[in-house]
Amino acid sequence: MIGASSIRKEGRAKVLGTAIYTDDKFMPGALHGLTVRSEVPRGILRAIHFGEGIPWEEFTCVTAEDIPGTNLVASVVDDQPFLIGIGEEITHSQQAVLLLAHPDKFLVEKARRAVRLEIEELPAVLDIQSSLDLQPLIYGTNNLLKEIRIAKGDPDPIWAQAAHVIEGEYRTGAQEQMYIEPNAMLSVVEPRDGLLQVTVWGSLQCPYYVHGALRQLFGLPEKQVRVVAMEMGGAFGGKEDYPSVNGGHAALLAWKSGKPVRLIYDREEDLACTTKRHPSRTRLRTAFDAEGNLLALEADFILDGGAYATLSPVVLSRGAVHAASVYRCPHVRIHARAVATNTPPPGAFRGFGAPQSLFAMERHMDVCARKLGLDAVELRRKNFLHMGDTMATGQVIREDLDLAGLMDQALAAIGYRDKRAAFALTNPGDGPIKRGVGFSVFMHGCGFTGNGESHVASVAGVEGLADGTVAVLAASTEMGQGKNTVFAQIVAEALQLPVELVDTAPVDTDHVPNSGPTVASRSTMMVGRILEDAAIGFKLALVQQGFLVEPYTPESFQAAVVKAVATLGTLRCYGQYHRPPNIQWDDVTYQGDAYPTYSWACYAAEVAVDLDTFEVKVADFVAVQEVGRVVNPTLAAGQIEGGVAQGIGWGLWEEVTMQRGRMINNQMTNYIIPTSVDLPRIQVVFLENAHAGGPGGAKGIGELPMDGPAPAVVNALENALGALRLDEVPMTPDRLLERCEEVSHG
Amino acid sequence: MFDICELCEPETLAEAKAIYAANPELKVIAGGTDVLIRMQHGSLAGAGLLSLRNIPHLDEIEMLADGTISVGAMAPFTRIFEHELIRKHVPVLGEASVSMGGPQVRNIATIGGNLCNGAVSADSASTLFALDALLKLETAEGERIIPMRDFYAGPGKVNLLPGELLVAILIPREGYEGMGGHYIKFAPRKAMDIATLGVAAVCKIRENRFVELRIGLGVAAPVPVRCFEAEDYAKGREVTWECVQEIARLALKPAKARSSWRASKDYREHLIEVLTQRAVAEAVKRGGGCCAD
Repeated sequence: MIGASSIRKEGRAKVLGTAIYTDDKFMPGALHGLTVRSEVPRGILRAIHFGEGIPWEEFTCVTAEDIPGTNLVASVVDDQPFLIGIGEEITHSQQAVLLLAHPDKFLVEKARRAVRLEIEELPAVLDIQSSLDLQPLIYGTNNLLKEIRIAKGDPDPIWAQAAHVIEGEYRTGAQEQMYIEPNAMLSVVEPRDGLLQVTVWGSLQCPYYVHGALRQLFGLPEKQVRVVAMEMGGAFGGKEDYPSVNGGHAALLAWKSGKPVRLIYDREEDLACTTKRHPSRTRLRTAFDAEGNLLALEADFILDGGAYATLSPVVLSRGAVHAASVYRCPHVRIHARAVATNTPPPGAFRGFGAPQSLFAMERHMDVCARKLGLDAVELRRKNFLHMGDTMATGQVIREDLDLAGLMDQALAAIGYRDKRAAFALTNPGDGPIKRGVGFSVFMHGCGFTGNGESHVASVAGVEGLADGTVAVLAASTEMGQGKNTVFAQIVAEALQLPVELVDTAPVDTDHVPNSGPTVASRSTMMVGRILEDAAIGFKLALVQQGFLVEPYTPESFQAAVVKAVATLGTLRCYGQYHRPPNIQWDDVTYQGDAYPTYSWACYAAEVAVDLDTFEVKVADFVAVQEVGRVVNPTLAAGQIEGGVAQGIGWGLWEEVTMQRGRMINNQMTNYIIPTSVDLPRIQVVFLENAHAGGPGGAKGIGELPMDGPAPAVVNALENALGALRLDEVPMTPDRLLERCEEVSHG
Repeated sequence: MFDICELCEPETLAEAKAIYAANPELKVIAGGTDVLIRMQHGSLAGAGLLSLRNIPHLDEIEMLADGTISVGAMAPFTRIFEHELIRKHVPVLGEASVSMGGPQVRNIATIGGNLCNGAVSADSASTLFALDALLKLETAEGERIIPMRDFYAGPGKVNLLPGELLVAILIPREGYEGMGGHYIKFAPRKAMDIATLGVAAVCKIRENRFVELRIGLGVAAPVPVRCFEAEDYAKGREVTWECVQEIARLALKPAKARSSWRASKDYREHLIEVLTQRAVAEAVKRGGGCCAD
């Protein structure tokens, strides 16, 4: 079971079109909801004017005044209101002010256009530097959403002694997740047994986040709120925190109207207002001895966190922990800040802060190699972490880590040495096409950062069904990553059953326990491990109570479950996360085991640059990674290929263009994600090194492939074009032209 | 679901012209790949539509007695690039057609819709400019035939009279016969994208000299343009790389590139020059010439 490419559990329904997504759910009499948003980045809301020619009496209208509970979205920091009230401050251009619902979808759109918001505009902060300069002050006392310091040793005395000190500044842009299905919610709020019952069906990654947000919004106890995850058309983090906002909006409209309400975003609204990857600026300072050994590292890592904290504190945390990357360094100082700006808040996106800081570090290593006159491969080889080394947080590497072997394998697969030699001969020629090959080495922490897993204390379980099959009980959601299949494989392995006898229970908070959010590359490793325990407990219970005799066949197991259910009724067994005793973390000092383990990788890219048009084509790509034991090779390879595609897109094309704090290219036609013809063959190699913590030895995999492609591609660009200021992604043709002109103009 | 107040689906061209004459406020819909998007954006919300899809023969591609190739306005791009006549006589138009959108869009989007939409980025427009194509326009009253370059009035605006329909695109024999041609669509993405720049070049070469050269540019100015100065310069000259470079420099003359968030003015002008070089060089090659240094 584990290690086999079992067929995707929900694949057939998706292919046949019978899978039920949120907008497909039949709900007679449902109203269409819409959100009226501020169009200015900052100001005071003075009045809402309802224009003429609209039968307003037919509409359900919800404003901040209507909110029955707390007008704050439950998150890491509760600072974001669901709706802005009269006299309150609008802090970004997509701020929700008014909710409308009506049976006629077109009329509700007309009504939205007829609403005029009277706003007293205030000066806005639209970029990182203005926020740092407090021009003006817009958040708290210092415009900081979160600040983190990580210290190891003392870099200060090193700068003067070191043979070389090299500094660099690197920037990365915002990125849209571009899931196929835009954000969607459906809600019913009705009395049941005399109590108000709030139900939301939606496209969401984390049912219990939405559950918590609804409880706070309505001021209701646990039992009166129900959240159901529907089939989901992709998420990539984009449905981690935002569903607490639009889920709340849908429920408010359903509550006020007394009718079911659909709140389905179209692509343009989704792109303009939902969360994206945080833009970043990283300044690095590194000291090396004469041989190229890394002596000290200082990182000033800044994320643009937008108008509210949302998930920025935890995104920043992951980015900060990854800032020193895979290198051994005795003296490290990391100063990380998430700054507030008057832009729609960014949030979770595959990688969660790590792609930003790793882009900086992996670009910087190539820049350092050039400045030190060393080979980029050998500089890394000298400085890699090994077993027994400590990372920036003091975490000791306990596994037999062989990054050099990983790197050598990736470089051999792409033909790095031969290609470098060949391009050195061909690139000086007259033709406009210049070629290069580059790579990046990186890691991704599996599961939550720090004490996250202990705080959540996830629960998951298995249930025996009347037909003798087994259902997985977990709030983890299927967003295309393969959770349904992988969980079934893990449980089937533990129970020694064919995978066909195990399936997933509907993800409904009335029915499944809180196995934590579906994020942080944690489902397979963390929840999978709990399921393994639960499954073994389930089997032991059957044996102890005399229903099952070992050894058993699948048929006798099934018969035992049938009999046990008939005798006992509901038959469930749960497991819960317990922190392994050797994992310690201090949230105050940021010292300890930031992650239970890491996945490790080396990605290599070959590029061809056309110096007539400054277009970059990625001609070849190799992704070698060590992810523990691979549970389902086909799904895992799909994860890697998809992540590489997203990473290349971020590196070369995907640009969120903002004007006055608004995204202006909010369509698929002008926000450029690559198609299959824009991408190279992607060679995926897994090195398996079973990890003790995960089920069957598995580690996390979902986010890892997002971290490596951008620095590998840009490092390849430097190989093709020589020393340019290649310090930013996306490296669009326009930017590349500008960088080339800097060199030709001296 | 679209906000459509009325849908007229006439079965004949005469019926369509009569309905349109009586209701000039109707929005004509061909393939719908632009109109439906505008309806969704709200700019055409609640509009009445006049669909030309049920009219027979409007999508035909044929050679007229005088050698003119007539492409029906309702011909979808897939049909154009797959059509025998286009492959044989005007391959450059096939090249432009296949660069448009993706397979699903090309199966339904029509060349007439592409032109009447008035977008400066229309992949067919710059090529038809270079081919000296004519447009056959009809109203209930009668018909007129105008050159392509008189059709575009401004960004998103075309010279159609109230009640007037584009019926066919006519490519005269002298527009294509003995010509080599090449269309370059430049866009950040290699499929499903809108041109940042479109360059179409067609030329006739004899004894490695330009007998004739015509260049059409899309997205270089508010409307598609011809590069007459460059074309005049080429006439009679021997094909050399220097000559092609000078042609490309002159091709910048009619361009009115501007900075937008898609591309800066500098970058666009740079592209016009280098892509005109490439398009002309390839057209020369296909026309039997050679522009070695």
